[in-house]
Amino acid sequence: MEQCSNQVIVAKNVKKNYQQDSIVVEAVRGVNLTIEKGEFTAIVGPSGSGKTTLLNVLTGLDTPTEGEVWLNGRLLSEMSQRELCDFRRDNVGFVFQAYNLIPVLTVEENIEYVMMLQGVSKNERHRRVVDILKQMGLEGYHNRFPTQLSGGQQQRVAIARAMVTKPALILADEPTANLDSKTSRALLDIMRKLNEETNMTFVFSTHDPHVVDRARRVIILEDGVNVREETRN
Amino acid sequence: MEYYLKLAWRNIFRNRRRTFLTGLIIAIGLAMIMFMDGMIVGMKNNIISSGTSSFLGDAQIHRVGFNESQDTALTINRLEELKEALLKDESISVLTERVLSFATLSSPADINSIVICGVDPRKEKFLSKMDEGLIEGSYVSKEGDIMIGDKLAERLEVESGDRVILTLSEAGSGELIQEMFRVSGIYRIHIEEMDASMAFIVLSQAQKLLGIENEIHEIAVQFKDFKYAIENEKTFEQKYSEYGNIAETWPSLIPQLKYIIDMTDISIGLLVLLVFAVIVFGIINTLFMSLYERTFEFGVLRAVGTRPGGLRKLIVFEAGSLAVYSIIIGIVIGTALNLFGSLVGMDLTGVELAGTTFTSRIYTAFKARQYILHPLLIFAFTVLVSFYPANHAAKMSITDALRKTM
Ligand SMILES: Nc1ncnc2c1ncn2[C@@H]1O[C@H](COP(=O)(O)OP(=O)(O)OP(=O)(O)O)[C@@H](O)[C@H]1O
Ligand SMILES: [Mg+2]
Repeated sequence: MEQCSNQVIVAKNVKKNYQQDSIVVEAVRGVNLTIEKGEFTAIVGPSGSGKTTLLNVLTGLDTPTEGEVWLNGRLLSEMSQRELCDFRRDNVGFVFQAYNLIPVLTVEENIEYVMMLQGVSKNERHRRVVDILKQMGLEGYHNRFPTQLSGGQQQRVAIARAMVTKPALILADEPTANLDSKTSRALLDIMRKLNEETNMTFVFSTHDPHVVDRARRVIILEDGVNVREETRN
Repeated sequence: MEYYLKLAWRNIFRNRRRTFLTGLIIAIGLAMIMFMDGMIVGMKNNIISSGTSSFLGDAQIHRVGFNESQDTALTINRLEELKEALLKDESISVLTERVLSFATLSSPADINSIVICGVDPRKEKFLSKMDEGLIEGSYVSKEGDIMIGDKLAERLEVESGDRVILTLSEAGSGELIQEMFRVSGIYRIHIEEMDASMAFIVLSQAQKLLGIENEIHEIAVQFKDFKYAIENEKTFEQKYSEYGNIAETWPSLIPQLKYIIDMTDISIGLLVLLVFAVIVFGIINTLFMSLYERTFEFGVLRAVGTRPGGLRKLIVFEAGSLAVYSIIIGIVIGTALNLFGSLVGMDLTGVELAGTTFTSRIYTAFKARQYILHPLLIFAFTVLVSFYPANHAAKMSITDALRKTM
């Protein structure tokens, strides 16, 4: 199939089953989906609807039972584990619900981790950390340890870490689940601002209607299938 | 690399108490190994020296067959050439010549069969311990003097200055000869057969009595370094076993001593293994505990692009850091123990172990290997063992790890 250069994710009939003892759990049951560059998209659905499973499969953290996924133009099933690992490092920024940061590393050290894996020079890393912290409104926080930050600040550092390598996709699985609603909205505002300024692609999952409100495209997942979609502005 | 080292070092101090306790296990293990090594070296030195330096020497040369038959006619062949070679030998520090014969010694009170030994008093003092063990009187210095052990003196009911009669048979002819001696001194060196059934007279008189002028039965040698006998046993034995003579180092002369030393080496080896097993258990346990606590974190590290090898490296580095930390504590404890052992020592004087007797306090010995080999072994072992948990972490499924929230 033809891949347009501005398609970040293309998923074709993706299914994921889990074997639990003798029962087969169909976590994702045939998802077709395209995400284009610059999107700010929410994947919404009740608990157990398969959001995490779908995101894992889309980013190559997990392999689908059936179907194909193209990420930034590459077919994931064609890559070796090693290739996939490096591909993820260079193309996807991850933000999880909580405990994103290594507690024994400072803010700066956490943010530079992926750049260090990529072999970016020390000076360049420092320059980029200073830049991104400014964008995140966290100037002067680079020597703090994660425990010295509030939950919202920690998530902002996690977003900084995800963005600092300018990946094709920033993927956030329930990034606000551990935050209060005010902090959640503030975090989403920053994410959206960054999306508009940099045209980086954001995909995040959530339960929270306030968070959903900030999305421009909403994909609704039920029982492992994307049943509906909404586009907003 | 540097980044992982930093991360590893900080990670081990995340749970200070656990790290300290595990570190302490490893440290005590190392300290025990260091101390046991010091003790064993001290004990071995003591066993060997009580076996060799009392009288035996580190090596001896005889005529082939003399040791078995004690036939006084079997004197050393080509003595002058042999002595010349020995005097040139760099590894030898002392050498003494002896004449040996069965004899009886009688006093008005009793009669005892003994081994009479003719010695050169000036040389003999350097090798054997009778001089240090003198409890009464003085060393033999002239013809007519005889020096005996305290047990023998007790049986014969004699003191220094008393007269005794020595009876022996002439070499070759077997004719009985009697001679009167005056007890010049009485010694005690805590070796039963020497204290109870040996007596010493000057070499020249012994030769005259036996009719073997200028000939001897035994050359006893002391090496500059007593370990030379173990390390170069064969070299020495081959070099001087010629002209119908036989050279033997102490491991051949007193095989039971060699046996004890081998046994101590084996038991030390077993103890060390045991200590290592404890250490391994401690490390694996700690690493796995800290691994399970951080499953989610490892999931994050893997998700953002850390290769399995990177994670493995991190955990191995953590083990290495733990080892370094523990080794520092261990060396401090081990040194303290050894210092104590080397200053105070252990009193085993008179305790008999398979035929030899400890003749002095045992002091622990410091050895370079306690500071280099043992810590390095601990380090290597720890790092080696950590590959097990490290592989476990590297193989973990990312999505499973990410499902584990503490
Ligand atoms: N490793 C697994 N083994 C077995 N079943 C699993 C596994 N992972 C997920 N599931 C099941 O798959 C289904 C989808 O799970 P998933 O975590 O993707 O849902 P979710 O939408 O992310 O839920 P939540 O909002 O609670 O995070 C659930 O029924 C879950 O129990
Ligand atoms: Mg989920």
